[in-house]
Amino acid sequence: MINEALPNLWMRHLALAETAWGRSWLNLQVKQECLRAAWECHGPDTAKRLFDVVFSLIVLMAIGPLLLLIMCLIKLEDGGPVMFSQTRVGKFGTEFKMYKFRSMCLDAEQRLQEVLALNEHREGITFKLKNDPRITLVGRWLRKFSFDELPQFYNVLIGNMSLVGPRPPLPREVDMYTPAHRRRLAGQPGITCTWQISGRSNIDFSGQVKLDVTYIENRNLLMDLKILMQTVPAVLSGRGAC
Amino acid sequence: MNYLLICPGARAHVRMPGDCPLATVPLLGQTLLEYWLSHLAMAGTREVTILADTALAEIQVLVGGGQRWGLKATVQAEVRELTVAQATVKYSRQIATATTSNPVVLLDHFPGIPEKPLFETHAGFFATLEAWIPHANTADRVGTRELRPGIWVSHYANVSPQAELEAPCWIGRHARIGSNAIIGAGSIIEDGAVIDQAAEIRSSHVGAGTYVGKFGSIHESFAWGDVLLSWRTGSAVQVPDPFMMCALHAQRGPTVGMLGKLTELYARNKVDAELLWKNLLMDREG
Repeated sequence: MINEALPNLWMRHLALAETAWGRSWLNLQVKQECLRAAWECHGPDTAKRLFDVVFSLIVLMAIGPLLLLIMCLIKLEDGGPVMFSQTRVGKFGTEFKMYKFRSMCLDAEQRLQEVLALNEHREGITFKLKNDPRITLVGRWLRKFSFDELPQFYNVLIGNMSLVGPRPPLPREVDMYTPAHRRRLAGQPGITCTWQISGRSNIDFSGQVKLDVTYIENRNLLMDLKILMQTVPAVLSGRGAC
Repeated sequence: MNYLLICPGARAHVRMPGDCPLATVPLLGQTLLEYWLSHLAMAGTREVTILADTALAEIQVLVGGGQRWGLKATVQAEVRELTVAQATVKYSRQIATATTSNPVVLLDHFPGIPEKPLFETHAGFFATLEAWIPHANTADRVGTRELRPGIWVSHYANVSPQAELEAPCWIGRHARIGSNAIIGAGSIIEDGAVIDQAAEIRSSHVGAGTYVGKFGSIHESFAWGDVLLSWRTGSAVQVPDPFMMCALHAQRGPTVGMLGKLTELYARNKVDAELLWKNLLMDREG
């Protein structure tokens, strides 16, 4: 059945389809459709990855001296390792090593059980404690401005993280996830996301999942830029940082 | 408890687009294997073994280690498709016996509706797909919304405001519906399909990445790339002109040539290769 509102277009289409050159012309339009469909399917992801690589390279070069200063401060404080790598869960549950500056004492993992009971997050999936006794002096300052997260630009550069995306959880947290919670693993994890700029770690876990899923469903480059721009003042003011 | 999922081989009565293995054909945006893994994970299963006699590399890539669903999944190669009884005997050690439900499943139906087999007739296949529309949006799935009762639209789908949608229908991710197009009741538009201006789809399944041209009219059929197959009669036709109907993306054929064979060999031995790399060639981590 042909829509009655389009008789002229239909007649033109028929006329073109009746001639060899007309069919070639119509087939050429299909090639355009192929390119458009390829862009719609893969373009946004490619653009996001390109943006991640360029942005993280520029940031790593720009903050090089700051990174060196932080390394020296951590080393001078207790002589322990400067970097801290932690297994995190990325897109579709794949595990990777996420890098951070060490902000806790050397036996932090062993002392985890001591502080788990003091968790401020009610659901117990994620862990938050404002005055964690394991945090060092330099670590407290690093965490205030989220400087301990800066090495994650390297994770972005090598492709296991993105600039904007749901924060990668720990494997023990993922073990407690329900199928609905696992939806936040459908996107590439990132350094910052919507919940970091809209209240940060004060939001409970269900609220985080809701915000993360909304981001995954609606993400685009413009939204990423907005989140990045809103993250800078939120981080520099130390608002809500853990 | 360990579940055994048997991937079906070819079925004489049902043709699939591009001779794709039955368990990995996208059906409402996900493969049958994904629906089953999701269903088992939600039921609390922790370990699944997938038995496959074809397209091992493809299945391995799709499943990974099962991390996506929070379970441990392994793909086991078989020389031919086993029946449920044969698989039960062969893998009796791996599956728990003290259970009410059968832990061996042949993937020829959607989870929860064994009375509706998928691969017996084309008409049955379509009827089952239609019946699955309200159940396809599983709890662990992202981005599919019921726009109006019975009308399911996935994220990044582009539907013209002038298009007409009739319930029940399903529109996949990155699908595009042009102006004045009609998506009639019982239509399923898979991911990345394009329904151009004033085209009309009724009681049909438009495959992933299929283009339906302007003023095209598809009724009671499967439109997969350039192949149009009537689910009522089973007759098929290859459409010669791309402007009427075609595949938007070139189909990636089965592994051909030396490079294809090497890729499949690597995929089959990926886990062993990674272990070797970690333990012999790299410094052991503390």
